[in-house]
Amino acid sequence: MIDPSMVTTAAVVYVLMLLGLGVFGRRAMRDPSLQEFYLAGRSIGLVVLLLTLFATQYSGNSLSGFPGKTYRSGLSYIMSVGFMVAIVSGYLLFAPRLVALARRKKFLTPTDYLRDRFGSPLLCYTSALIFAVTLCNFLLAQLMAMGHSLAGLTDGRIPYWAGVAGGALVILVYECLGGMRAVAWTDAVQGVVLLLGLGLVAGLIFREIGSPAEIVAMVAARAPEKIANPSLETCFAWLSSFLLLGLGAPLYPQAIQRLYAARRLRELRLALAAMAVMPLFAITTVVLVGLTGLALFDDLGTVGSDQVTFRVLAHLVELEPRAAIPVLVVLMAVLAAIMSTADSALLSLSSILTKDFAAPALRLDEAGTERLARFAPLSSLLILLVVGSVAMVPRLTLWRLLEIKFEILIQLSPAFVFGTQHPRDHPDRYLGIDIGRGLVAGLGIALVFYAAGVKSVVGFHPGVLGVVVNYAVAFTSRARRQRFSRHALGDPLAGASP
Amino acid sequence: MDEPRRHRWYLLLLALLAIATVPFPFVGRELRLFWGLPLWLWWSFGAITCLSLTTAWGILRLWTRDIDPD
Repeated sequence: MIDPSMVTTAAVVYVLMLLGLGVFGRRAMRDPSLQEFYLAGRSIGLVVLLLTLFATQYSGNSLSGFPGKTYRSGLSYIMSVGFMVAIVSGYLLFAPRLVALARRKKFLTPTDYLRDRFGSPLLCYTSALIFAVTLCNFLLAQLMAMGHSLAGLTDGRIPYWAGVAGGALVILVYECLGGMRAVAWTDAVQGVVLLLGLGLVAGLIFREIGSPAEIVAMVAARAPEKIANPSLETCFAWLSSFLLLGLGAPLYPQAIQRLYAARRLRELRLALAAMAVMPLFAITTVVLVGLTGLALFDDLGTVGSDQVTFRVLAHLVELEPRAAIPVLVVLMAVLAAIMSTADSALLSLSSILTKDFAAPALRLDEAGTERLARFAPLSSLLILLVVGSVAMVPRLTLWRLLEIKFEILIQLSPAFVFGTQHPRDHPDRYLGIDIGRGLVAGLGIALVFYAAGVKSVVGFHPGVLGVVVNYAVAFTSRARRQRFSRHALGDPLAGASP
Repeated sequence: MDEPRRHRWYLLLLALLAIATVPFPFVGRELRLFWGLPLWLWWSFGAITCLSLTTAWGILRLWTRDIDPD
């Protein structure tokens, strides 16, 4: 498609630029505190905030996995645009209050909120563990994607292991140098490359292949079932995915920490409002790439369909050799999407390890916790050594458990939604015990279904069924506790006939 | 007491729009095209656009400063 040496040169220039931004991030650091390292001293402005939110939310999977799924599912995968919008809608359930409290009480991790609100060490450790497991999965997937992408893009000149190790090392260096500031700045560059790449690929498809209606007509001629009306079970699966992503994805710690790191509330609101509109362009383009693949290529199979983006790009270069440079930008965008997600996951994981596990285990006070900032780079190194080693041997069965990361993460939704809707001093407040009971019930359902090999029930994810029970149990637990305390206090209204 | 604003009607509207994005009315019906694209796609994409714009509006208008200390 493109000369591999050209891709290698572009990748090297790109990596040098990222390292340079790491050095600038180091110089901009005001003091060696945890707030400065992990949240950039809450100083991220509108443009960088928007681009870092964008680059973090759109992983390598969005650019190479989504077109593959579109190729397999057909036009119905347009629903993924709605899923990405649902993530931003989901923030409205808890983020306004969470952000206000985070600014007032200097929260560093999402668990800090749960500690402040419920005061239950068990709930905090469980939540931190769920966050850590989810982030490990995210980081592992990105490191593996980095290895495969670099090997594919350079035609094997950079082998898989070198891609994983090299990519991890680059991320580690710029992150240790500048912390969140370096990560946000590199995310901003990666976000621009990503937007540019998506714009270019949309333009090339329009020019060389045709309009969306023409592409749909080509798909209809080749595989009419790919544009057919969806079945009832498919509709239920979509509804379930809406709930799964709308309630689960806003809880990603790296996303919540970006909300904490905003300089002003007004800038955060503007950035999130833009994020609500972004999928209409970004994901629609990604789906268009998958549809173009469907219109151009016959049965690619599962493995081949995951490479449909690269096949479409190669086809575009064949049709128009001058498209090589724009296609190179798109290829760099794939790399950018992977790296930006990996660095955010690593930083967040490091903060959870330091603040939520190390500080309580060492029984450190506030000043002692701040001194842990010196060890923050060490925790990043430790995480990369462990997760990077697993990425080198991707067939470990232990990691299969992490396939259901969303279904586990979503179980923390009631803690944040009920917690923020009913503050600590509210008479109808939820206690840690209510949330804990719901969490046990929801996690139990998700894990039992997973152990039994059941991936869906009439289209609904087990994790979604679990979270419905989770909310119901927490609600019932609070109601029973209130009724009991009214009886115990001799409330004249208790037991009164209606 | 530090009471948060809940905006229940707005959240209900978001939930209804999210449900509307799923093309239930087209299940079991024959495929029909409109301007070269399936009718169910117009329905779903229209609802997704409404959800997107309503979310953006809510973030800008309802995420008020009343609980923000700065």
